[in-house]
Amino acid sequence: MWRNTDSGYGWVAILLHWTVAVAVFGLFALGLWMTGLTYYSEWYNLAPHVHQSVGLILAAVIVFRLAWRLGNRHPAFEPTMKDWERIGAVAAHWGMYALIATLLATGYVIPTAGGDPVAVFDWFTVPAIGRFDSASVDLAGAIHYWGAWALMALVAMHTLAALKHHFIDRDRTLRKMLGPRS
Amino acid sequence: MRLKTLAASVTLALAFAAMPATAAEEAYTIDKGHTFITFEISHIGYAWIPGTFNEFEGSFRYDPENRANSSAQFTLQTESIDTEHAKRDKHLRSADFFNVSEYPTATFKSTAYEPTGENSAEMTGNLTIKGITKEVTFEVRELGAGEDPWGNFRRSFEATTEISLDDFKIDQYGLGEASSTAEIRVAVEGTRQ
Repeated sequence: MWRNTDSGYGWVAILLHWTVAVAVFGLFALGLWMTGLTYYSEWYNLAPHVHQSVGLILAAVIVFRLAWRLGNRHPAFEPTMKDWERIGAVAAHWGMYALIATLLATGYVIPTAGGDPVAVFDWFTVPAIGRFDSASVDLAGAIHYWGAWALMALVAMHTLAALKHHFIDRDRTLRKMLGPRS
Repeated sequence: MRLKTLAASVTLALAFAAMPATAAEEAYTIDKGHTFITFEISHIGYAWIPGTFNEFEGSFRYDPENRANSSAQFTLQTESIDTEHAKRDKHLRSADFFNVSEYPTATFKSTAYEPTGENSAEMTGNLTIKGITKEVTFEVRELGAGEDPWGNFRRSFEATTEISLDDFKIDQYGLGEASSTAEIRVAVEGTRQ
């Protein structure tokens, strides 16, 4: 029930999937909105603070998720799936993992580049890993921005693919991510 | 000696003596370890935020016998702006402020040096930021000169001026009225070449 089986996902994997999905959507929306704020908006400091805090928590969740993924069985593809669909799925899923990791890394570098720690709400701070020069920080910012759009493009494709499997192919793909017994 | 020859010799000697003392004009290279290009700007009317431009080069010429014959110039790398805050510096480098990818340098070249006192002067020149050139006047304090323990002859100045950010279109973001001007202070030490 908690762990995956050969034919379905366990609750841990399902919870991790939807939690990360909500976080990714939320961080994207918040990130896009906050860079348009004026100096005099009351959210000018608060929005980036929340963005960074949630991002750092997501980093911890993703590490756990990857560990869980590697230490668990993975349910088989639906037998009706064609080769291109299987390859596409693997590519898209690992592509999303890679982009999330890149976003989390660049997002961490930007506020800590001067050696200052970054706060997670008012609970604790994460120290800087090292100092980065201004060119590196600006590059990290560009990668963070374009990486976010690239991730959302993959997410859109991922969502449409899931809906295709559910409504057109009428297979268990989406249902597997809604509960262990599908 | 014949009178004509004597007169000619005396005239020639006087002519040499009266020649402008261009030999007194000294060329200096800025000592980057002891020169600082700094600025201060108000934070929404409260504290003063200091900052520096860490990468620059420059030189000056100083004529102790004819101080008006002095000049200075420097070029700084806008990417090196430093207000001790990674995210603020990143914002300052962006198109909202200094747009460093479009305008990698800022320069100053003096056009006049007017002594106003024994150790003070006004230095006018062209300041170029973000491709816009405006004439500015620095209040200069001449802080002295002399031999240092390491074999150099060193001369030092402090130059201050105030600029309006609008003149150079520096603030595209909207910092507000209190931050519409910034004071620039350059502390210079140079070694004579």
